[in-house]
Amino acid sequence: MDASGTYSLKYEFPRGTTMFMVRCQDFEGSYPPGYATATLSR
Amino acid sequence: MHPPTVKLLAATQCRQPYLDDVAQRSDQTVAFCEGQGFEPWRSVTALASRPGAKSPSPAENVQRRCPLPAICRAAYRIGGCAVVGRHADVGRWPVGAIVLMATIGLVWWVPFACTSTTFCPHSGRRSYEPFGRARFPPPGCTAARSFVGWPGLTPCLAFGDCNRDGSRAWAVSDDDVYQDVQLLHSFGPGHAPKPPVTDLAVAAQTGTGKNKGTAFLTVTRTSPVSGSGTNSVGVHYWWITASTNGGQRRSSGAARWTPPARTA
Repeated sequence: MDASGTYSLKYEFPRGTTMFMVRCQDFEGSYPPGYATATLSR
Repeated sequence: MHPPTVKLLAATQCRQPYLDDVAQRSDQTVAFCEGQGFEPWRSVTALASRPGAKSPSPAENVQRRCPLPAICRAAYRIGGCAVVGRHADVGRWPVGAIVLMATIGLVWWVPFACTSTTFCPHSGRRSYEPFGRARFPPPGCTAARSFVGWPGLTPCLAFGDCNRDGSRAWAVSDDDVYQDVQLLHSFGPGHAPKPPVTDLAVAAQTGTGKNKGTAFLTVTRTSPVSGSGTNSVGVHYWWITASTNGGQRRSSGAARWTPPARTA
């Protein structure tokens, strides 16, 4: 991630509906994990 | 009224250096958020006068101001006078402090004169703290100091509650015999500990033309714990997966997430 906390990437996805899920977790498990999703159809 | 219980280690809104400090000395610790808010020669009276702060009752907190602030400040800067410093105790005073005291000769009383006394009504014990209390620590304080204090006389626990919203920035608590942390008083409204705010999002967009089969993804993340700048900083890591038509999740994109074993 860059200094602003942003990371960009490309992904070749097949036909259909693709759900992207990003997750975030801490090593110690002290904090609730976070996640976010985005969906694309082709 | 019995004070509410505060689980100290659940106070995850504090940043990691602060938590480390408290966690390591959770039985006998007075921790301050150092930096903008930490001026050890300030007394709690300044804190109590801030808007929204609750004045400590005399029974809870008895203060003695340092009569010669210049000496206190000078002694503090070399790490001496009272026991200020990470995990320091009386038996491990810096040599500079010992030399200073031996040189001046008359300052044997300084640790006592510079010490504030906190009385814990819950336990009936007292703690002695150098130079008075920390000033109201700012939200998001980034460093902490702790000291053990005088042997056997530090049952009280004071911690800065580093909520981002600053809703309670300072509290005094006490470990009871069951190792529960009891809140004695706080400045600002009390509330349950809040987890750190981690903003995580992913945006996806389909390309056009010959890139129609390409998903352009942008992941944004901000964390009060790890900060930002890489995919794995401090205590946090992140990864991204893709699932088409409900199928098995696959890692998507370049190998910028950790650990790889967590991606399907």
